[in-house]
Order: sequence, then C-alpha cells, then structure tokens
Amino acid sequence: MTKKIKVYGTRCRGHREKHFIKKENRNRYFEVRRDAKGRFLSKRNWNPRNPIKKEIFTELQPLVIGYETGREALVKVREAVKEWEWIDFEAES
Amino acid sequence: MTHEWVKQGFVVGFMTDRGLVIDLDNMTYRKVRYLARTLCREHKLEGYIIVRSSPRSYHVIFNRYLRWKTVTTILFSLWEAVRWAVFQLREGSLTLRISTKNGKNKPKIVFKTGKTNKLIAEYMDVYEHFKRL
Repeated sequence: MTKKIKVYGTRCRGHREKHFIKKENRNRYFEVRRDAKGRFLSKRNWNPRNPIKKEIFTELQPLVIGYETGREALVKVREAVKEWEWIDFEAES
Repeated sequence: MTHEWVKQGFVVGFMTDRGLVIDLDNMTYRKVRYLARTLCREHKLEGYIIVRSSPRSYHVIFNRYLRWKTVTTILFSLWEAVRWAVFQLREGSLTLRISTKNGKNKPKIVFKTGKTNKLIAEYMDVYEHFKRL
C-alpha cells in the first residue's frame, strides 16, 4: 500500500521575476511569471510599494505525494516544492 | 485566497488512514499521557508515542494498524479530539504536521512506550528524514 504525505500552503505556479524599466522619465515595474522550466506564463504591472495581492493566482488544495520510504518522500517533496512559488502572508490576527 | 492556517511557506504533514493518530491542543502533558494510556489499554493499540508540536499542543501516534471504521469510532469516543476529528474525517485521512509552521518549531518526541514496529515505524521513518528539510 502506498503511503502518502501532504504539503499545505498558499502557492502559485512557477516563480516571479521583477523587472524595472526606465522609459521617458517614467519608471515602470513589471512582474513576469515563469514556470519551473523557465517558460513565460504572464506579465503584469507591479508596484513595489504594494504586497502581492492575496486573491490572484493562488492555489490552496494540499499536494498529496505518494512514497515508499522516508528518503523517497524527502526527495519527492523537495521536487514538488520547487515547482511552486510558496507565498508568505503576515498573520491577520 | 490564502491558506487558512499556513501563513509562511509550506507545511509538510504525515498522512494516514491505516491507524490512529490524534492531535490534542490546549492540554497539559499529564492529561495527554493519561488519555493516550487509557486509549492504548482499552483498544489494545500496542504502543504509542507523544510528540509536542507547540507548548500545550501534543500529537499522539498509536502503533497498531486499524480499519477506518474502528479509527472513526475511537476518535468520536474521545470528546477532546472530536473537533479535530470532524475536519480530518471530511478529508478521509488523518494528518499530523512534521515540519515547521508559521515560525513554530518542528514537533519533538517527548515520550515513547510499547511496540513501535507498525504505524509508529512509518511515522518515525518520515520524521527522521524531514528533520533536515
């Protein structure tokens, strides 16, 4: 029987890159999202003064990973975790 | 949308539907040990370990493999664990944290007794490897 492990958290696909472009006396910031292999996913305007918005891009369903031994579980979890960007939020209380 | 109780990074959880694990929050160590000993004796669970996840919060893992029906019966016989059990049973398995969470330390084993060759061995296998994550 396959044993299972769960990984919880707020996550979004791939990773983010912050780009700063200075053009015609106007400073502009962009946020580019890419997947684990570096392929382009999306681009949008970004203001460095604002934190990442909570309501976009996030997935909450836990990742369920099957394993046979503890070592295998550790390797699989590390691989799975790398594919996602895990977002931190301050405690609301 | 943010996760309900994970505010920083990710949390790894040990998941099982083959045996009994309990999360006991807001409780003294003496009471946790009393409950674990009583359950172990009543249901012949062979052995148990107590893990402290944070001050006044403990996890108990019992050794014997059980059917899912038996697990639910035992969980609902213990009023201290009913609230946690309801949320866990909705998912169809029982899950205990084995990594850090929101700045809290990893769970630490504080007491071990009886046999440790079945579910406890599974838990320990994962617990030992995830020490370094």
